Amino acid sequence: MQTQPSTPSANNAFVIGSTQVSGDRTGMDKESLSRAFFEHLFYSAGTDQKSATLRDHYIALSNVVRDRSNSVGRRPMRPMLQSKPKLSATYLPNF
Amino acid sequence: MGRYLGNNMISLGIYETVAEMLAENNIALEDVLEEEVDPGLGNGGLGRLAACFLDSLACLEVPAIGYGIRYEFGIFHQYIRNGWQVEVPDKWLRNGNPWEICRQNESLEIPFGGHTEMYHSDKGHPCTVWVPARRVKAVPYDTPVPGYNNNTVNPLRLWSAMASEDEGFDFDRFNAGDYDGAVESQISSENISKVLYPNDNTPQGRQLRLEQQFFFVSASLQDMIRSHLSKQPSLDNFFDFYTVQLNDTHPRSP
Repeated sequence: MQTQPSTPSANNAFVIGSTQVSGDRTGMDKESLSRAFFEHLFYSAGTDQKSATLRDHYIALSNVVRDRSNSVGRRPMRPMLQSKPKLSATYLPNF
Repeated sequence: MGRYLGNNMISLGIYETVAEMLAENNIALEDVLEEEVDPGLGNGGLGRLAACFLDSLACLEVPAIGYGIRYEFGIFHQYIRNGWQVEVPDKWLRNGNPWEICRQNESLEIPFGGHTEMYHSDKGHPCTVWVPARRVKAVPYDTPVPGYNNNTVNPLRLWSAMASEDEGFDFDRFNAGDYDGAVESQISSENISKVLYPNDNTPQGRQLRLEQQFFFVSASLQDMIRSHLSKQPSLDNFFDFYTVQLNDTHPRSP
C-alpha cells in the first residue's frame, strides 16, 4: 500500500449528527488534502501512485472535493428543505 | 455548474492549495481538469440557464433543490460528414460519474396509462381509482451544488428511469428462449431516460417526449410532497416551503 500513514486529523475532525467525521474527509489544508488524495487514489480509483493514470487522478481528486462539498455546513447534503426558502419573485423571470 | 471539479474547488476555496499539492507530486491540475466530461444535459440556452439558477441559489444561500432527468446520452454531438450533418450520441457517463450519489431507497413509482374505475366508499360516496397500465421506477441521483465561499450546498437531483420491481426482467420468457422478449419491458422503461431530446418526427418519438415530461414532473412533485410530509403534518402549508419554477420557455403552437 502506497498511502501515507493515516493518523487521525484531530484538528479537522468534527461530528455530523451522531457520526464522527474524519478530518481527512473535510480538512482544507494542504496536508489533509494530500492525504485524502492518495487515500482516494488507493481506495476509490483502486490503484497506487506508481501506476495511476490521469483518469485515476481525476477520480481521486473528484472524491476529495465531493467529500468536502457534501459536508459543507457540517451536515450531509440531503434534498430536503430544512427552512423556509427566501425565494422572491425577483428570481423568477416571467413570474 | 458545468464541469464540477474546477468549479467546486473554487467554491470551497481550495483551488490554489490543491494545485500546489499536486504540483509537489508532479501532477498538473490543468491536465486532471481536462479529464472531466461536460454533462450535456441541456441544449445550450436552457441547460445553461438552469445551471446558473442553481449556482445563484447556492451562492445566495437560498435552500433549493434542482430536479432533472439523468439522461444516459446527453445532447448529441454534431459532425459534418460528406456535406451532411451527422448526429452522434454523447456518452457522458461512459467513464462513470464520481460526483453523484445514487439513493436507490428513495426511488419512486411513476404510473402510466391504464384506466379509471368507479366504486363507492364505505359511506356510500362515489370514488374513482386510477389503475395504471404500467409503472416505471424513478431512481434519484444527487449531485452537490456548493455556493461560493459560504456554508450552503444544494442538491441537484436527477431521475433515472428503471423497470419497476415486478415489471422488469421476465425470467419465464428468458428460460423459454425469448431473450429479446424477456427484457422488452425493461428496455421500454429505461428508454424514458435514455436520450435528451429524442427525435419527435414520429408518433413514437412524440409519445416518448410526453412520457419523459410526465416522468419528470410526477417524480419531482412526489418527491417534494414526500419531503414536506416528513416534516409537516399536512399539505396545508406546502406553499410556505415550496415554490416551483419550471425552467422551460420552449414555444409550442397549439
